Amino acid sequence: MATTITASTATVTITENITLNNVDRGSKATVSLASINEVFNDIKSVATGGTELVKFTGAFSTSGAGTLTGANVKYIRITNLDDTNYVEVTASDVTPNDVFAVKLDAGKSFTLGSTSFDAATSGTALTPDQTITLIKGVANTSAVDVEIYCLMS
Amino acid sequence: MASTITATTATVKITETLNLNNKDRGSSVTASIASIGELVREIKTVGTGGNTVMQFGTKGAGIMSSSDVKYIRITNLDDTNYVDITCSDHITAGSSGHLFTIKLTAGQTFMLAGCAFNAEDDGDADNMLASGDTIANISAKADTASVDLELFIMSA
Repeated sequence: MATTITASTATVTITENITLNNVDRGSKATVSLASINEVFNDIKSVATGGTELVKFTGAFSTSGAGTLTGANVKYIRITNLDDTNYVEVTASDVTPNDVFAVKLDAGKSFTLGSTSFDAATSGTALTPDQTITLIKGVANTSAVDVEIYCLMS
Repeated sequence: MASTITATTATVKITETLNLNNKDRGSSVTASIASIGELVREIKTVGTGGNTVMQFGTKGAGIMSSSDVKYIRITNLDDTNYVDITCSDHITAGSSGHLFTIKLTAGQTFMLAGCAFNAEDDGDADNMLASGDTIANISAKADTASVDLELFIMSA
């Protein structure tokens, strides 16, 4: 079997619009991501007991359903589609051993450019030499929907 | 002194454009963020020795109130080199109780919705925010050579 997919360049544009006292204070950031040939786009309901959103593996040979090759990941966006409640988003490595969590308010997004990270309970700065293998959501008050959008080469 | 700034609603739109084999695979999402009265819009050079790029605590020069922050975007403006971004609960580098670091490759963006976070190295992966913490310091350390970052932070 030979692939029929031709890799392409993706463009991610983030636009902030805000006017304070009739002065434009907005901004914009655009990045082009070359050689994208895989995309993962999922809308998933997240329970208060926690729901796995996406997994990453170190090698293409062990990728599978809902599991992406971490080294090939160029972009990750997690968006809370709820209009009221927040969701806790956690990113962890394999055991899990190292893990961090962020609060994602209603309607807001969390983005990353790779799966490289580290987390600890002491120190000043870490070397991001660990790989995120799982991103999980934990809804707060009641279940929420989240959108997961990942681009891979 | 009375403020003359009228807080307003900001909108943030993220658009991913991708066409694979003549099929649109893109997506888009827009968030409205109400009651924005303060913002930081800054381009900052970060060295290989590391620099603090933003602090959160009692308001002051380069310091925003952590409880008021509603949006954080950090974009690596370099076209080649990556930068490590560290979020920690200690307002100055050192003595952090919780911290995490991510790798931000050239051109890429790290986006957060506020300062609530937690970080552990003992595997407690659920409901971490319940005993959570607040980001008090964001620092950056360039890899090969200095890079420029764009900071865009909005707060009430």
